[in-house]
Amino acid sequence: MSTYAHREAAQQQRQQQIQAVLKNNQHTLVQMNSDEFIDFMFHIQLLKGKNREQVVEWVDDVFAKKTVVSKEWEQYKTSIKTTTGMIPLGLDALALGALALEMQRGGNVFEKYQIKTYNGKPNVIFKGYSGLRSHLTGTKYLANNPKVVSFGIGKLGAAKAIKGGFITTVIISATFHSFEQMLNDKSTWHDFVGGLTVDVGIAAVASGIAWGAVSTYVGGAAAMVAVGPLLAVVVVGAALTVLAAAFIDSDALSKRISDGLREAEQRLKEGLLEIEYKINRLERIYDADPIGFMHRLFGIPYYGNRY
Amino acid sequence: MDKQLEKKSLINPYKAVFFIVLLVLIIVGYFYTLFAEIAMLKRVYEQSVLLKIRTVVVPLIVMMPAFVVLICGVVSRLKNQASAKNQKAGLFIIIGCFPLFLIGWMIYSWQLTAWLHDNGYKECGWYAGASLGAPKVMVNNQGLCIEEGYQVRIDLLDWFEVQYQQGITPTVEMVTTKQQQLLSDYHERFDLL
Repeated sequence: MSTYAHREAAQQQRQQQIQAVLKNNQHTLVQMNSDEFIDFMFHIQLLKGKNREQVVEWVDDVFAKKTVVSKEWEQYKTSIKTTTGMIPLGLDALALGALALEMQRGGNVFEKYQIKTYNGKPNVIFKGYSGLRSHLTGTKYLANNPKVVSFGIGKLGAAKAIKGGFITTVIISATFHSFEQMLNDKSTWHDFVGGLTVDVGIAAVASGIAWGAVSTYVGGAAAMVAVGPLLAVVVVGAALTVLAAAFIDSDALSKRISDGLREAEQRLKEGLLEIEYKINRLERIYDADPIGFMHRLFGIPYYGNRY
Repeated sequence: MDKQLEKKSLINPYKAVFFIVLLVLIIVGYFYTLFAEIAMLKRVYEQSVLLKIRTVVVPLIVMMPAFVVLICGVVSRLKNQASAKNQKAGLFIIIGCFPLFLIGWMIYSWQLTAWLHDNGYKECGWYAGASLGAPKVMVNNQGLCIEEGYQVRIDLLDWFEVQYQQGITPTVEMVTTKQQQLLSDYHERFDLL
């Protein structure tokens, strides 16, 4: 088999991989500049069985429909028809938008897209499908490696869900402890703080474990934007919270913390009493012998009676 | 090169192994708690004077398939055998377990409380804390439930456990004496006298 044929076969294989990956229903946000997008668009069209000339004609048709005239495209399209390697081709936002719209209408490549300009250059950001990230960043499928920007969004979404479950736990716990505080004369602020600390701590750890486990299961933070994984985080987090609270005897732990707070308060009171006593003593010394007091304090020479 | 890429795992294997081990430990921890809970409930037949029950433990068994699905899912991702279809089904099981757990918890809690009442046990609020995981304390003699015992409840409950382990059935006098002693120590410790 010739090198060319081997390369073509490998490319075909990668294209099939991408097609399989795109069928999954997890979302990934990808940012591409115009060169990367042109490259990507070409491969998608080739995947559909078109040859290079047909793809160039397809782009011409798209631009004609949208009445977009791109100087860069006109300059390079002839060489693209004939050469096998891809030529970087900067397009303006209008041309890029026209291609992106056509790609979206064309079907199974991406759901939504946006054209954003960064540093004066247009970029297309689109919402793809699961597994796209690994292929885009991990292979030589494209001339350049586009940026996958879904991490932040995934984490934010998950954080929102976790925050929701976490705050619910805090509210429930605070309500229980407030009632206890109001209805039970024996309960003090130490019990309130101790109990709430344990409940919140358990909920925080459980939420963290739930997020980590579910994100590992569904395929990283990028996949966490979907509703299913977020719900799963809340569900697993809630189950872990009640399980952990039962397993570690949270009541005994909160009692230990509240007793610790009582001890700390007691030590603080004793410390304050000691300070008060010392201040009173100094006041008495000063009243009895002001010069002697200054001598003791600053070492000023003094020949009177000493304490 | 391509084969290498194909073989390359999509997730961090250390992270995956960590979560697999953690989830297995959670399941083991659950069954440990479950057996302890069942052992506590068995004390009803021995006419134990005091029970510490957690109504949430038994219904939590409904959530175990969710953890098993998570483990299997992470393992299949580790082996690069995960598919969107399986993940969707897994998420459906995980999320579906939760309403079943809530319904189970409600019914179990209601049934268990009724059963304990039938066996002569009543709730003692003074020995139960307000934490989410605090056990429900039931006694078969209301004289054993002392209001002043609230502040020393953890030590008092430990004392009850020691009495049970030694096969001693505490009387109201014994409990009152112990509670007063513990409370006195408590006041002395925090200078509340």
